[in-house]
Amino acid sequence: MNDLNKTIRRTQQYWFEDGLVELLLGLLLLVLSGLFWWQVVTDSEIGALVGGIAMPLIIVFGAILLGVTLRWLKQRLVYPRTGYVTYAKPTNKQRGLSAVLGFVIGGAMALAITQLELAELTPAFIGAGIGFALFMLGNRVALLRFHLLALWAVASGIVIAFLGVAETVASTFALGAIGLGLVVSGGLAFWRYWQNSEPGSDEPMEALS
Amino acid sequence: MTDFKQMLETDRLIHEPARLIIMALLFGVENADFTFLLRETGLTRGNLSFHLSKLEEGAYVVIEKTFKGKRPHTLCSLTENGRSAFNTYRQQLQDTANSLPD
Repeated sequence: MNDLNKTIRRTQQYWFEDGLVELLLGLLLLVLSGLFWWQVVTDSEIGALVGGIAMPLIIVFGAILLGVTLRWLKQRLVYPRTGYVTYAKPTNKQRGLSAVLGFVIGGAMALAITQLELAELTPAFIGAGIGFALFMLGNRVALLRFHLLALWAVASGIVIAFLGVAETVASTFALGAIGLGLVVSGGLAFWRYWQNSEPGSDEPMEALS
Repeated sequence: MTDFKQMLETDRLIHEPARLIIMALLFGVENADFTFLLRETGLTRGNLSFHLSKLEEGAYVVIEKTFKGKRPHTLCSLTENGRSAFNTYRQQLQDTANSLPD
């Protein structure tokens, strides 16, 4: 029975086997971290404009671009080697639950930072938020590396929060450290996937009559 | 006796190990192609084709043949009937396992 459940779960793990999801997500976090850093360093009107108006747009379009790039890479690098799989789209209930959970956690963090004057702990909150999401993902697909990444996100957030640097700089470092962790993990996973898979050959259509 | 009777009623189309793995793999997804099933099951092409055809005959699996460029592309998915049969099989297996002494 356990083997049967493992086989079912295996198909969920397949989406993450090549490491491309982490790799691209990590790159997005690194870009965001770089933009925050530029904003801090320049400390100009343009920097403030980017932070106030362009940053939310960059996040939204970055997420869309991530999805498009992920599909493009999967179609060219992964599906020809190890096969194509489509997953059932999440139901409205599942989407709603995720949105509510994200809203509650994000809201609680924002409240804690602003109302309790815990701005210096912002990197720790960033690490905790991303770490929680990675931990939940690790539980869902039963992949240890996501639990390790969750630990990395939480630990780097806490350590950076207590470095004693300005909050804006510390938040930039936290995003950068988490992004770097994701890129390294995704890169290693992709390298292992590439080593262990071979390009597929044509399917025997005639055999399936 | 009831448990033995239940065991006798096990769906033999699913009970065959290769077909059980195929059903379990397809249960977790909307559809998967031949290459994926080939890699995950470890079966030969001929064997996989044979078992997929059996499942298609039993109306548990739908096989859709298309082309991606010049390459053939075979997509497989469970039917509602197949999904329901797999759930029933899992429950029967669980009940049988529970009824066995430690």
